[in-house]
Amino acid sequence: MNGRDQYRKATPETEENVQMISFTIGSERFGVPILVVQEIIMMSTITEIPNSPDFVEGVINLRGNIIPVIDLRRRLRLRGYSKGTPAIQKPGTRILVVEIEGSVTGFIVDSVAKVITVPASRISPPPDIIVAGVQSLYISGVVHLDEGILVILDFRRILSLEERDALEGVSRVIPQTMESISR
Amino acid sequence: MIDTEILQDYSSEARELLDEMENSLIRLEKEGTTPELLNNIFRAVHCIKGSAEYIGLERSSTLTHGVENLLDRMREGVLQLDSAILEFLFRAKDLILTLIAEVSEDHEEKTTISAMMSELEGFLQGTPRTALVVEATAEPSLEKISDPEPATEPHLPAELQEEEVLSTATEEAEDVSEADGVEFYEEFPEEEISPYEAGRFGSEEAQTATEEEMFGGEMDVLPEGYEDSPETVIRQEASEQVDEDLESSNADRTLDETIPLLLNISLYLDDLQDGFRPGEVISSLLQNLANLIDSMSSMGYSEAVDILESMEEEVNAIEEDRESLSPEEIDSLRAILYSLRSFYPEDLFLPLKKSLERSEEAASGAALPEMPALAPELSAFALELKKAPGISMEAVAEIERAGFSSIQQLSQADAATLLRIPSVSPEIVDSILRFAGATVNPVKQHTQAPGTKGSLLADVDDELLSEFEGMFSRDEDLGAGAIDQLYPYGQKAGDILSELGSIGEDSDREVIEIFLAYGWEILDKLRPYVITIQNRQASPADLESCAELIKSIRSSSTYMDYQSLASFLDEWYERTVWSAQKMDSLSPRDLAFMEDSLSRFQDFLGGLEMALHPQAAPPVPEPLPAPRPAAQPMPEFETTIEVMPSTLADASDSLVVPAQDEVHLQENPTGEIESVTAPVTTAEYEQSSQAETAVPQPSRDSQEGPVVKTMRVDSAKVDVLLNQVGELVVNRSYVEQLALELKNFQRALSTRGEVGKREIQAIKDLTLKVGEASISLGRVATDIQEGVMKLRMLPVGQLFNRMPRLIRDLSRRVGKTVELNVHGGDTEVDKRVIEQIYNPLVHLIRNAVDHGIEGKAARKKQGKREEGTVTLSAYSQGNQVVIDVEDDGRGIDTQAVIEKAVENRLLDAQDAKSVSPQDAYNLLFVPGFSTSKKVTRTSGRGVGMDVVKKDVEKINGHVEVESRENYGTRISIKIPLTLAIIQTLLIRSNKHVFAIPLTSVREIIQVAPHEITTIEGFEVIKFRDETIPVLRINEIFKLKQPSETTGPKFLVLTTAGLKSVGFLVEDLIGEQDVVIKPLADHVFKSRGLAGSTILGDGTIALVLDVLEVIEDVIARQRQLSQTHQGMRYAKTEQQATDYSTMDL
Repeated sequence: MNGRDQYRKATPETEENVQMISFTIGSERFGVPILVVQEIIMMSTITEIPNSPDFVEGVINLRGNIIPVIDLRRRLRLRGYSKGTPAIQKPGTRILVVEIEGSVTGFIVDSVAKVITVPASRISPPPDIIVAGVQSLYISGVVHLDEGILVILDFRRILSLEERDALEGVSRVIPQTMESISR
Repeated sequence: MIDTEILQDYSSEARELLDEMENSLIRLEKEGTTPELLNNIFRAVHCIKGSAEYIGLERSSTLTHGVENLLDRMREGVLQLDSAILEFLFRAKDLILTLIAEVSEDHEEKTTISAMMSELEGFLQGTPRTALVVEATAEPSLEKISDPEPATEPHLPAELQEEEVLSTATEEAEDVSEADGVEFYEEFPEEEISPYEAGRFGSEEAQTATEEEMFGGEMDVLPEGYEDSPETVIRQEASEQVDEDLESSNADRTLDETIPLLLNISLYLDDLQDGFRPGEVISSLLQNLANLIDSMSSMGYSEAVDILESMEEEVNAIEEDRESLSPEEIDSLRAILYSLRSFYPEDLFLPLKKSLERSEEAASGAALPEMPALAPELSAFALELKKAPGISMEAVAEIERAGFSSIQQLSQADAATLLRIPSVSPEIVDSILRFAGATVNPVKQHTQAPGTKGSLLADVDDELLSEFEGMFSRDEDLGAGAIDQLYPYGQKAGDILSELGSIGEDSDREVIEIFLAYGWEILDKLRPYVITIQNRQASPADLESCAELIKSIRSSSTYMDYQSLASFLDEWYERTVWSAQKMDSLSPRDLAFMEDSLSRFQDFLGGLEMALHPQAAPPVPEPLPAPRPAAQPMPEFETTIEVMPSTLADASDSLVVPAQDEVHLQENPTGEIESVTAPVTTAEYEQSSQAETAVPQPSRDSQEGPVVKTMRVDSAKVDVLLNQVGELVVNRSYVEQLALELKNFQRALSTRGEVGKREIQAIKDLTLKVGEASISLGRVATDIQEGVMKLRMLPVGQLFNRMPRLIRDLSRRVGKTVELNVHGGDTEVDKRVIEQIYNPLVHLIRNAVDHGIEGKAARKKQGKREEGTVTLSAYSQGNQVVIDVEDDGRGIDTQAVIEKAVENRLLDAQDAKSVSPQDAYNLLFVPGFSTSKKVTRTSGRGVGMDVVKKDVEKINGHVEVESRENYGTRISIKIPLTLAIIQTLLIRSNKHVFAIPLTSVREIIQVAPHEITTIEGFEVIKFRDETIPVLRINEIFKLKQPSETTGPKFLVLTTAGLKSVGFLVEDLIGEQDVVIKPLADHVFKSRGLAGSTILGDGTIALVLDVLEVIEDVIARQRQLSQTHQGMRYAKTEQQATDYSTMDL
């Protein structure tokens, strides 16, 4: 299944138009189908988790639920990320709370712009090369807007563990008892 | 489409009942037959049957019904419990379980029950055929069928079935069991047939030869296998339930030789149908028939002879006419032939069955699968009935219908009905009863010569009999009309039930609700009328308004398309109108009818409500019918029980329905009923109506009163509740913290003195109140928390109860005698623990029986009792529950373990000497490790202990091994009391707050920096002659270095497994109950953390997984010390990759 199909699946709207939340990281503009996003919250106290991958910022308490927060910039290895330093916090910084396959995850982005409606026909498949510094495997499509390019991210891929491990370059032998944690 | 909710209820309820049944069976095996145990089993089976029928699970209900019959026989004393029957019951239980599993998974019953049913049939006929499986030939005591003990053990199908159930516990590959199966056969070689059998076998051959002469060419139809199966001889012997003298004089005549005759007859029937060789065929048929009758009568099968003679008559009648036979007639002949099968063992009859299949097909699709062939015969019989004078056509029609829908109902209920009709000739009753006898109760019947009405009646069970007799003497004036209403009732109730079953998701629930509400309303209105009618105080006007009410609900039910209800109401209506006309001459039966109808209508509504709200507490908790000593209840009454299947299980819990009699009295204005003291059970109803005492069925209102002790709740609902309680606990801490802050604030204010005294006082008061409020909130929250947690708690006995069977089967398989002791079954643990712990427990028990306990000879040598003991015990220990599996076997041979470890390169030969016993035990948990020299069916593959450990750790528990050579082994599973909320110690290290589960905390000590020393790079502390590794949380979790200003002050000593380790912390915050929340495992896995929790102020604390930390530290130490000692541990042992930079 390519990324585009997935995204279509996630947006059971009219064929013509898709609603997206657009957000920025650095100077790049990204989009995510609106149905994937559960809510957008301000930055809150993040509790650090020992021994977690570097892009995991920690966990937050979202109304009684503990959800992990990922620094999207670091996750995507975008320009401006640096290893070992916490996510840059600026006034516009938001946490995009995304629900995928029942798991809720927060993603730190620099700012959230607005909801835009994009005609489905204007979404082109992801190019083979790197767009806006993001590997194409995380991209489900690209929209050319008047203001510039909008990269539609595939959060499912971004969250998948195998992808992460590949990215990390770590072939982890996860001991079986690992499954018993976090119960 | 079966409603999934109902199905779920059914499956969990049935499983419980089956557990109960199994326990009773095991006790039965040990303690022998007691009425109490039989009743327990019967009740369980009966409840399952009720539910299964209600849902429409044909196989389950047929099977349970059969088992019920068998149990009935045992209760009556007709059948004696022997191990063959016991084994059968065990397997029947397994089969029902399989069916339940299939139904709940695929909504369909897949496994066939025909083999089981025919075996059952065998028992009912008094032929213990299980005792005759091939394997049994190995036993020398074979001739003594009365002692079938040896035969049951190697019964392969049962073994395999168990395997299916049990193998879920371990990961034993299927091929293992298959291979073992082969071994099994080898242990019982077929050559070992005793000379005795061989002799018999020979003589049988000779006989067959003579037969061959007799019947010429027809003999070639005999199937190959039939002649040379030695067990048939034995089987026949066993099946001879005739007088001893008869048996001895005809010892050499066997049932086998009648088979060719039967086959021939069946073939002739085929010929007749094809129109092939007419004339010639009929005479041959008759000849064969005559021979068969001859053989049968010489063997003393008088009832078979009766059946055959009737067939002969029919054939003779045909011959006189010389007309060609209609297919129906042929089918009816076939059916007669087929009904003989009850006299034969299953496989003997097999060829015949095949040839008779056609008649089976000819039978109506609605017929019971087990006895469909009788249906044609029934229709023939109905024809006969039509000729008889004095029977209304409706009655015949009913019988015809019944014939096609349920043979079994006919056999008892119809015979009963017919017997009530004075004008029915004894011949007709004879045929009915012959039928009933042939299908249901030949054993009984053959004890008396048929022919007269009186002796026939004696054959029917006593209860029916007395009813009939009463009927004959009293109701001579009873017209056909009365008969009409009696019989169709059972039928209708059945139909109504099936209508209920069809209420699925597709029906419009709302409409049904409305209908129900209306129905109840009408019922309430009707009730006083019926009571007045019964008291003979009703005026015709009353009856007319009664009729109006019935009519109005009738039209509603027509609208709802409840056809049979409508037709029932129709009848009721007409009857009421008719009654209104002849008010003065109402017979007791008419009155009973009114009352009966009312209760039926109520049952229908109750059933409908149940179907609509399967989860709701049943509106009418009916007391269980007292177990009846005789055959099953008449169907018409049975149905009232089945309307509310799921109440039965509950009812069995609360058999005593309180206060019902009092309600009767209050309700009855006249007090005429005061003599009735017992609640009206369905079983008793018959008697009471017979005694002409009109008893109103308990009203709906009155029946809402009785206490239902248990109720079924979806566990998801409890989980949601528990989550909410978690939130409550968090909020409570928050409020407590706020109260504390307020107090501090107030103190600060008063010391500063800037605020006036009055204001300070007000604030003080407020602080006090807030403090009190927070305390009382805390109390309530704690209570709620405990209460909800208790909801999820189940006695561990539920789990233990399944083990006796396991022990029984295992010990038989390995040929050891093992006794199971169970202690502390009422210890309660979380539901999830019960679910999770089952497989590990099964595995440990297998290990204990298979490896732990020695063979009998070895035990004797040791001076131990021959009988091994496995002890299961559960007890609470602090905040955890310990489950011990203990055996008194050979213990763990640490030396063998070490050797094996060396062999498997898990251990260096050098190190082997310095391995402590405890370390050796730990080796057992390495995947693939097994000391067993050979892999057995039960265990020994090495898959197991590691799985046990993993399963237990999944629920935050751990496993400990203790063993002493030649004295036994104890394996303890320690599990937390509950999984959701744990007590923790909150500590602070740098800025990070961690929660350490209190279960692991042993002690907290204050330490000074100089007390910590370093040994080989590891920080340790000497504490009461113990050297304990010291860990710094900041370091193991790679957190930022603490600001050196404070420095660690406390050492939290923790224990997990058998290891202790101390955590250096800067600050202790205190104890707190926390709700563990998963730590976002979809993003990352984190070693050493059990989860996280939200503290009172909304911040997040991480919960340490002490065991994991310790394991990792040990692994780390091993890795580091490898260079010094060269000790290598298993590769598969946890590798602390995340700790690579950890400085220890």
